[in-house]
Amino acid sequence: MSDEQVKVDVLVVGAGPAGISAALCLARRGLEVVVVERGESAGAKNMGGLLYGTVLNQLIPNFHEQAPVERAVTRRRIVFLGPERQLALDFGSEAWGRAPFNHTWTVHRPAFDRWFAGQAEAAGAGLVEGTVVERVLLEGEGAARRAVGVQLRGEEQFRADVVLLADGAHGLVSQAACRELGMAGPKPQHFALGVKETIGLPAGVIEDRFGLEPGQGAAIDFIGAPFENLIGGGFIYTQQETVSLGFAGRLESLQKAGLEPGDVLERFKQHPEVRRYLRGGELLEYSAHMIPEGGIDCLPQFAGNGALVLGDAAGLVNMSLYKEGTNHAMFSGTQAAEAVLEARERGDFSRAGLASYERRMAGSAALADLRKYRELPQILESTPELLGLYPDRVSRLLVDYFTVTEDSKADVQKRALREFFQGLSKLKLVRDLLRARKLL
Amino acid sequence: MSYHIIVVVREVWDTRDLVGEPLGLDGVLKPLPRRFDPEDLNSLEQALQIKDREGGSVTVLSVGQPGEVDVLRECLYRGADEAFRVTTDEDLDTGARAALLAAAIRRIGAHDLVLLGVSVPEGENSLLAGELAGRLGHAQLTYVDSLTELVPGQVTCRREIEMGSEFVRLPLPAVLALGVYLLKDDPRTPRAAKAMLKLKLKKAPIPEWSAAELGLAGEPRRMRLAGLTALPQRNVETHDVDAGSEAALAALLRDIR
Repeated sequence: MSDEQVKVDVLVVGAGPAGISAALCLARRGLEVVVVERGESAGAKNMGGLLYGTVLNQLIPNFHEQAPVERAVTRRRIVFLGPERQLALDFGSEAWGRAPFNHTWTVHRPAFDRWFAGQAEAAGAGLVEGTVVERVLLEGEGAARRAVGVQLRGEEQFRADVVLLADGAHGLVSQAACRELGMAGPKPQHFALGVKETIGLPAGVIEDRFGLEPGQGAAIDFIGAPFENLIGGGFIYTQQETVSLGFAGRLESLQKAGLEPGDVLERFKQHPEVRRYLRGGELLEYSAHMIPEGGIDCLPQFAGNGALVLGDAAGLVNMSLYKEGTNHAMFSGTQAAEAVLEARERGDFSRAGLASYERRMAGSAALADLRKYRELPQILESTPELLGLYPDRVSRLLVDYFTVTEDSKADVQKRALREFFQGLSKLKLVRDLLRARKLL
Repeated sequence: MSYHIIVVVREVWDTRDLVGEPLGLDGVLKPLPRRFDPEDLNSLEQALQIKDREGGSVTVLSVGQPGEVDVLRECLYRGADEAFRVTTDEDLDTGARAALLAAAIRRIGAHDLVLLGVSVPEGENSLLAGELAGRLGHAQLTYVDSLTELVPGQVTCRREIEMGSEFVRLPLPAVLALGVYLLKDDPRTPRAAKAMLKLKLKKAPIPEWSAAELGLAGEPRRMRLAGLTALPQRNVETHDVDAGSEAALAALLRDIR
């Protein structure tokens, strides 16, 4: 690196889980790597949420002992909401409260990402925060066109052998670079809008309300009434002294239904099943984030000449009930690092030289998951009953079943079943349930 | 001709976005986010522009450890040549802060200008420049909008006052408190940090001096109340006026005149 121009081995755009994982691996192997982050600090542009930690645990064994994780998730709930009813599936295990804690944590991403970026810095990576990458610098024409660095806002340029595009969901830098390097996916990406509030509550109150041991956490998914006409659902996660609640809904469905995200969130918060968790809490912050949820069919080509695309920027999000994103992002980071190391050995940073990234990803569990849920976006779109009518009917069934009247139980049950099937085509119901199996 | 300029920089409360409940659940005032004092940042920009034009050096100085923003490092990222921190764990008032800064400025050595923002939103009022100039024996000027001429031994400043501008010439070295009103596309707008400098200087050590090292150990850190004198009570006479009587009201008006 001279005084006049910065030229390093690898440039990473974005200090999220994908970019930092790659930087950490590369720095450990002695490469000169620089991460450029537009937020004032790593994680500043992010929200809280679930962290699945299998990849991170390989990168930094027993990371939870030093990382700012909030709670180990020992209890999960899936809740079907009617307008004023609910039916919940509640499960968990004592074993999830012991190492390795089912690899499921709640984290406050600004704190967590800052810590994670610090690990990469300690390993020797450079981290430049509060700096915007305007675009990827390209040289050559046609099939030989390749990425050679990045243009920063202002006059500065950084150059490198490889640029890792980890600028997140709807990343403008990666989108433009993918177009120009011929890496664009076969279909345009679909996005969900994630909206979240962080509510402050004392730790003891959180533990009492959610039925948790000290230090343990809950993750709750909600499907049904508050999200009427939306392709999406809600969530509540417990942090140490805060509760995150919010929802993610496909952008097109928000637009089509003419819904304001704030109104949907308010309706969700006012549902009796949700309201009681939040009583007396103090709104600390709110945030919104895009989530790529097009799945396997909307993935870009992962490698191009001098560039790889990682994490959310590559659309590596599993939007089934597992809602897995950070883990896939970290995995893509580690694999991109391996591919860069191999390319470096051969001195070939063309798409062919970097192709092992594509091969590694293709054979991974991350992509196997996306393949498994290939039809999810289309099923949810073509069968709105799965997120609307059916959760409502399911939540009604048991309530009706246990409603106390002077009638005989046989009559009560008959009525409950009649209410349940009211206006439903049994044929369609069976067909829809068969399709819904693909969502599990 | 080159000039050696010292800029005093501070991290202050960010009072731009005061929304919501100021008290937390525990009834205690919630801490505000912090930022680089914008007027200090304007002062740094003036110093850097002089250096770009005339040569010389820009040295930045701050009191206390960084909270959310490391103002000294932010100055280095923008092109300051040297940074020094005065360490203290006490809550200082303006006088004590000026004493530390003056001692540090003497330690830094020969200089032509000391620049700083005119006021900060932190109870420090606008007195720091005056206190500093008094202790250093320098000329001083507040509400400086711009430096219109700088020649060896002398600076001319434009000062924004009511009804217009005032041009004041001072001998060097001088302490200038800047109160810059930035206009749209103002050439005085502070420059952005340079990415390459961030990369190079993120971990660069910043020399620190304690009060003891500056020869100020044991000095009082806060102003002490020397005494109180009560003002004599003012006697106020009141009398009733019949609001319905024109004669009474006329008499009242006469009395007032």
